[in-house]
Amino acid sequence: MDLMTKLEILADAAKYDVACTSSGSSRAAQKGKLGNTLSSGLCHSFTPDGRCVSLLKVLMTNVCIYDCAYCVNRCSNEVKRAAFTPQELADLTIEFYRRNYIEGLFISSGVIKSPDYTTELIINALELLRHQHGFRGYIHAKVVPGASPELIDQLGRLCDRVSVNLELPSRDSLALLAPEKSRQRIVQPMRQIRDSIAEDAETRALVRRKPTTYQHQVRVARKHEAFAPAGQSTQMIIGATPESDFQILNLSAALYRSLNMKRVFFSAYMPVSQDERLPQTDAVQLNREHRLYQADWLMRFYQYQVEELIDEAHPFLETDVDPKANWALNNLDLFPVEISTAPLEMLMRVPGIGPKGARDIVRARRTHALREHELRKLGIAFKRARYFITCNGQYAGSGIEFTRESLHARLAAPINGGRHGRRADRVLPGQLSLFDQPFDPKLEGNQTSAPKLPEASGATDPRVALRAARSSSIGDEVLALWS
Amino acid sequence: MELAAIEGKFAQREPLQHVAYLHDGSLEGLLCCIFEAYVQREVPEDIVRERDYQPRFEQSSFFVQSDFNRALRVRRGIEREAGSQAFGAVVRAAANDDPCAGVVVYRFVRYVMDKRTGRDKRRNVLNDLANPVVSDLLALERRVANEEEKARQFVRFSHLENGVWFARCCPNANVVPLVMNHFAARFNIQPFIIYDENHHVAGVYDGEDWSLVADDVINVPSRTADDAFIEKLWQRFYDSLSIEARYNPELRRHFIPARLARSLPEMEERSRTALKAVSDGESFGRRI
Ligand code: SF4
Repeated sequence: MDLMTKLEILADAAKYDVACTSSGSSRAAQKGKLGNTLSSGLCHSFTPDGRCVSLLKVLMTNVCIYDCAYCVNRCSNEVKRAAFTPQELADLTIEFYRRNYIEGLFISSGVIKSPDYTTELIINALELLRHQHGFRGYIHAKVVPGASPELIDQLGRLCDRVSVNLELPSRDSLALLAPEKSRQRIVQPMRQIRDSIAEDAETRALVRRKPTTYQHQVRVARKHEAFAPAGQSTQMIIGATPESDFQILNLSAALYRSLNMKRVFFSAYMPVSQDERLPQTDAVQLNREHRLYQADWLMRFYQYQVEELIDEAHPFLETDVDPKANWALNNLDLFPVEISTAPLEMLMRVPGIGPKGARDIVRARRTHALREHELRKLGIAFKRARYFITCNGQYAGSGIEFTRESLHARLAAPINGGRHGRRADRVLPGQLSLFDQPFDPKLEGNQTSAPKLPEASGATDPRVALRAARSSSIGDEVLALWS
Repeated sequence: MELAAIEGKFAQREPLQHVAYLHDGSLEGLLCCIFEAYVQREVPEDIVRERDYQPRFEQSSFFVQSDFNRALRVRRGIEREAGSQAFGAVVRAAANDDPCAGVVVYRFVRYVMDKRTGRDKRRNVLNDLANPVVSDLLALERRVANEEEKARQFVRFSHLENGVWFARCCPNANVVPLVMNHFAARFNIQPFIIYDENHHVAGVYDGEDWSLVADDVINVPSRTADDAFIEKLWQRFYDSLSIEARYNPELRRHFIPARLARSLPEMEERSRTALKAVSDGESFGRRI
């Protein structure tokens, strides 16, 4: 098979992997070697759907011995199969990189022969890149569930970032749709990666520490290459299984907390199979994905706690206002805040003011009184912020009733998803044709006390099992995963 | 030496009313115009690059010769009074194509040099965001910083038959000098040229150091056969990435403005059958 066709097959098979960031690691250039990495990352192109293209994202092979229901590469699916040789992949990466097409490589793979065999293939390719080509650009590799710890260690030292896919937001869904990937096979490598990264950071701190006495300093030899300096990330498919936003956000908060994830990615389920365990609908829950990312963003950059964004009584994020505005509407007693004195953290919580805007306000207010004109110049979305601020004691949103209802109407903004695509605008979260009756999030959410357990006779029916998965409490899930 | 003390120590001419200073378009040129304003005790109405100059009614113009040492003194003055970050902002703002950029920079320099601006204010001038003298400069700077990022993202090299890697770009600010450090570090193993078609400036990296060449026309040897093939591979890769259910060209246009899309091989109009022919007919001469 010629390279062009291989590339087409293996890029096409990798495109549902959402992560394509090249950030988080900063490796300076070195004379005589190709490439460097920037801690902010860099997007080199954008797909017709507006996603960033930063890395050469391909599979090593789309041959797979597993049969995960939601995946195009599952062994029961009839598609054309292909595989790169390690040399082909390394050379292709270099050729793209030299033309400034990409920041580096994102390599994932189907499971060929065995997890270890697959991982060895990937390691071969990365060794060629790092050692034969002296490549210093970004590499993100996916860990194949079930690969041995030694190989994961080797892999991590060739990469900037490694990731293990969580695949689905709950254990039961995983057992149902990806029976070969047991939970341990996913969580174990995540733990190992977290520990290796931490260990590595410690060693580095030792090497860097300045001698505090006049004793001859013992040089700590750098034993290894850094282990995944850009950290680990993971991703899960949403909308293929019935977990609520409440469950998903709690899970991702736990992932950030206990496993030091750099990012948790969500990917709206794209219908790829007729499997009856999966929702049979053409609509894709892109709006839901969008809101989940907004909430995720608030947790990572605005210091919101997950409990502030969502609670069990309302287990789905609002569709017509974003989670930040929703928080403000629920906490109107904290507003309006005074622009000239409010602390930075409070400024950041005003709808329309972002972290940069908040910092700029703090800088600028030292020398100037800030009013509408000045705030607009600082790039604040004054149209939204006005209802929540006072400028030198004067309420900026005058003329509007300061109540939840009236402000809700001002802040409601439909998600602009463009005029194309199969955006599931009219599909309620959770309301999938999978369920016999329309699923009412509000009703479901209150039902925490008595989970609907499947009848003994129906336990083998995947639909029934799925319904059970929906009601299993998230607390258990998180604890079971990381105790 | 204080910039203010410069006044009177250099040859002075009759002060001009309604004068525009013209320079060669380089950063040095702009800084020398500022120097000249101090020397002549004039307040120029415009400071623009010569090729962009459009005379106003009853305005006289005066071309200021670039002089490295004079420019250096202005630089030292800014750094002493306001710090090196402030000078960094001046460098970026000066690269902006906006015809007002020269005057905005000039006003900013006067502000930080003015003894009436308190010492504290001068030191922290970049925090004074609500001051129009500062915010105008920062607005220019931000636009250039964005354009710089676009250059780092979207410059595309081709491999030429003489071994050089070549890229054309058409930024709306003079950013090639600002991105050369980035590219020279990253691609230090390949001699390359980045040619800016709008500003007629080429950044040339010879494998050791980089330099700028002002050139109106540039002759480029043809690219290697392999290069065309790799470009086709890249296009095919790009095409495979698209997810039809998410199609959202409006969003893409937001990230890749049309003026830049023209120079991206992946955005070229093409039909899939044409690509197929290439993949079947051509073979890749190298190991790949
Ligand atoms: S193991 Fe990975 S590639 Fe294989 S079927 Fe499952 S998700 Fe797809």
